[in-house]
Amino acid sequence: MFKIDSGLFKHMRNLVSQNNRDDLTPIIMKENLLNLIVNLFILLFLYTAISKILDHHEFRIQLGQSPLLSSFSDYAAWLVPAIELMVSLMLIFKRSRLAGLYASFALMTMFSAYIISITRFTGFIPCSCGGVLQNMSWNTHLIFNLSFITLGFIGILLYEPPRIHKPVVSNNL
Amino acid sequence: MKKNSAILLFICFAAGVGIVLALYYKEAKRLETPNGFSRRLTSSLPKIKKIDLKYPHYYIAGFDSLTLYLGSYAAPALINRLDLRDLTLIQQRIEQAETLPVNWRQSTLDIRPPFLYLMDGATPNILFSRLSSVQPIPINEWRHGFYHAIPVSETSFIVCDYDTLLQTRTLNKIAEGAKQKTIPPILQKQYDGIFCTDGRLYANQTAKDIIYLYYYRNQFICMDSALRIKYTANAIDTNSMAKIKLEESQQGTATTFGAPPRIVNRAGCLTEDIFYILSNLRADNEIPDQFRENCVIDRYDLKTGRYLSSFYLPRINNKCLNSFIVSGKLLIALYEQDLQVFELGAEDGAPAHQ
Repeated sequence: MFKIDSGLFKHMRNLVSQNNRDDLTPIIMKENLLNLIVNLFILLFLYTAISKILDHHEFRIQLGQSPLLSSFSDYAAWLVPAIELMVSLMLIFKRSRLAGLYASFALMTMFSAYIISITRFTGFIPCSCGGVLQNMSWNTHLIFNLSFITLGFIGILLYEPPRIHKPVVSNNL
Repeated sequence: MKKNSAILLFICFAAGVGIVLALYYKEAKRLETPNGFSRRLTSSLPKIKKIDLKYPHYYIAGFDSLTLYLGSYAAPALINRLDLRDLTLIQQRIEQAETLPVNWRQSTLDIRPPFLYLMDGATPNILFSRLSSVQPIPINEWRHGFYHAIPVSETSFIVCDYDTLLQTRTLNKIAEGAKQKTIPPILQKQYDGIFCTDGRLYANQTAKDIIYLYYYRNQFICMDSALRIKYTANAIDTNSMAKIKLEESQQGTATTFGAPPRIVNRAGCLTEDIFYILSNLRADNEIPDQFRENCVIDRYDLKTGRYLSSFYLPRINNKCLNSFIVSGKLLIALYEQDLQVFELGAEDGAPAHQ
């Protein structure tokens, strides 16, 4: 009897500890995933903004060749990297991180919409994304952007619950 | 997911898409502004056959009444023969291609049966062979670099090259390896001399007529094989001056477009009595939606350069054709990776006796 009891006790303890782990792991994982997403966005925007600013002359020429941006290329050539820098700053600081995630989502949506619409116009259109990203084909680029949009979306979802630990009642027990 | 964040996400999405849509419609509206000319449109051509080439790297190298020859940018030593009777494709490799003194990356084939030419304007070199043997040999002591050249007889060529003195593209004849300078220059410089005069040379099968067609202005020059000007004619649109904006790169080593250039003429093709131009501009009497779904070809009388009429060729996968040829009753258009064969009606320039 005693043996069986102790077995049961052990089993119960295991269940409890497992349950606790179940409660904590997702939160830590969520935290890590969110950090990863935020850092990826910071890396992406800082990298492309800096390469656009370093090669500003070329970037302005490339925007000039775009049928959609030709008439605003002088402004857009400063505005785009400025916005990218601003968004990465928003992501760096915790207080503005959520707003930064929304802004990243909007920015990536805009870039993707730009790619889709520019391929509708015939003719020679260079990419103006900056750095090594320039070497991607339009299709690869679209997929790249769409994955970042998804990341932004996931980031916003993960950010949603305020970080106060709520006990989760599992239905499995 | 909370309601608020869903709304915010939607606003972000709408803002992103909205900004681009606004830019897109601004450009689409601009493209629909009237161009100030009209066309005489005849019915579109019946399609005969579409041939899937599987890859987009082909170009038309030449043709005769039985065969269309295609070159390939990806496999430059390969000659592709399309039989025009049963429309089958046969490939042939240039023999010992790797030993030939050309840079294969920049050389193109020009096939004028019974001869084959391998043109490399940068090395520069022109190789020549009979089409039956395909063993090209260099034309002796070729020293003249060129942008583009077309053979007008076995060993004489009309070349489009750069005149360093006048700083412009020029046309010259090179016969037996010696350059015969054309004075006064045939091409008219408008801005920089390289971009503003850009265009392409076309010759008919007999090489009796040579035409230089400008890309950025509504002009073409008809010459004989000795480069004597027969006439200079205007295409039906109104772009007499090239509308291009140029920018210097930062180091000042290269010039490039600063804005999308206004391409007027995309390609041409010359038979013994008609000059066809693949135009890029919509006439005021064309319906914008119809123009977007088609590419338009204008016909000009080769004797006088007078405009005759126009017809539509459909787009394939929303792409316009790159180049085309007319052989007898057939018009063969090369799209990215498709060849589409059309039949010309009598009013579109097919010879009346066929």
